[in-house]
Amino acid sequence: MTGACARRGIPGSRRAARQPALAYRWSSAGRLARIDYPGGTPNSVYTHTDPKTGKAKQNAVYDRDGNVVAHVDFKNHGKDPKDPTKMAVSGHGHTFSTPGDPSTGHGEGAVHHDPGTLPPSYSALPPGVQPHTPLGQ
Amino acid sequence: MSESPLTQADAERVIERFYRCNDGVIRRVDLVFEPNRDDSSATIVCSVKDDAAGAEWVNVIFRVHGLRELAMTEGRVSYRVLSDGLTVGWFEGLVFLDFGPYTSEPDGVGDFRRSGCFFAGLSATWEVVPYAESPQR
Repeated sequence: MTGACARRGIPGSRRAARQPALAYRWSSAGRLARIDYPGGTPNSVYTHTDPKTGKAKQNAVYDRDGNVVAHVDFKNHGKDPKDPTKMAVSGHGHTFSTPGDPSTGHGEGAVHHDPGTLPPSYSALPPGVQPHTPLGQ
Repeated sequence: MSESPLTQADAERVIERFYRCNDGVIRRVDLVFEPNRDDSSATIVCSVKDDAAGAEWVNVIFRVHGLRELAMTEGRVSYRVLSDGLTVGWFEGLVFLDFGPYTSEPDGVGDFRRSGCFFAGLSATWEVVPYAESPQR
């Protein structure tokens, strides 16, 4: 089984601008920490969808070297430890201080970026793909 | 806090306490393979938010005893960050701890076995310890 993912370039990337939107698949529900861009699109966003529901679980954002540098999660991940009065609602994001290592954007001291505070391209979904949880919930 | 059994009766409460381990980080995995499989085990140390501690970060140690099945992936695909949280299920006399759920709507053991990061054994326990990014054995 595979999880379907849509791959597209980040607006503003010169190379991305030449690339059409591509259908892309990778095995199982794995989260890619690095992609090799075999003729593909540096500075890109992958939407990781649930293979059963087709809904978006996460966007993974890759830099020009193919290292993941941010996640946008489309589930509610509970209270924000930096402010327990707030929730990490669908659409919240994480940025990684070490490209290719998502753990550097998680854990004590890591910041939950509220929806809308990261570049819009980070949370954009392919046409027809719905978030796992409605944005902001 | 002492080690507690993870049972079907209280698993949902335990997992909810840790916000289903969403946005958690796997810090350490220890595997022991003994001649008698009943003595084999897996120990998984995760950093998670703890609702019982005001959503502060703690480490929780999950131990799977009588280890029968496992899958782990690390490389271009990583499961260190628990973007999809932890899913627990009981099938075929085993408890499955799935740290890389294939789907948010599993409907059988097959979906657990599609995970790229799961551990299954005869029983499991959990224990809360202080937060640490490099936990010692």
